[in-house]
Amino acid sequence: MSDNKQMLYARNLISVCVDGVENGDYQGWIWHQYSDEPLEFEGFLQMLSIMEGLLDEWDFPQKALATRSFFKQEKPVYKKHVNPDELVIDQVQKENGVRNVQNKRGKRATFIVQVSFRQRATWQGHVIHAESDEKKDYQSAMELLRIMDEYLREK
Amino acid sequence: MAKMDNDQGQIPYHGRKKGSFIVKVDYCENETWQGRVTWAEENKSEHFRSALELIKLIDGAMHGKLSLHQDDDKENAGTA
Repeated sequence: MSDNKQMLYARNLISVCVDGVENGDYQGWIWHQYSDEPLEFEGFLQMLSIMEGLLDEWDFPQKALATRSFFKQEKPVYKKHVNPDELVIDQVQKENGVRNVQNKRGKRATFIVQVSFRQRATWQGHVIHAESDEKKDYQSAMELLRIMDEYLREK
Repeated sequence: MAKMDNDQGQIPYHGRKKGSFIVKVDYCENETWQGRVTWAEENKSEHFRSALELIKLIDGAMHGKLSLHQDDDKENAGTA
């Protein structure tokens, strides 16, 4: 057995701490590197929405495709570039500092998620299930959910 | 960091309408779904390129403004 823990290194790491499984859905907290306060979610839909909101706020990774909507398209509002040569996420980092999120734990399960790309209107990246110290790749948000669901069912 | 404002619409959860959606999955490529979703009440259709986009379309419809933009029945631009 090695003591080397699976780790991810990225500016947009998100730690999803699942505390409960109720009504066939997941409840928990989302931690990210730029705040001391976690964001609460009461279902997977809200989890996805919060995560996508963070990625949009950081503008990282950038979306390859424009958002579709049943409504008239609204222009995405990104943080104002103080310096156009600097990435939005670098500004966020400067303003808020960086915290470690890989030490957070949920009562049911913990997933450390890196979204590397936002292509084909979905996400691609890596996820670590902290409790089993396993790392997996996903090609879509749905595959990420499937991976999380498998670990949560094992419990 | 300040509170997140994730949704484009500003209507809170309790202000949600009900909605009916007809979903047709045409392809299952790249570990996700591609197809078309029709919002029955409004008779509007959109293509989706992933399950995430499908969820966001439905969620957007549920959170969206109650008065629709009548002149915007055309499909939105697909690519950035």
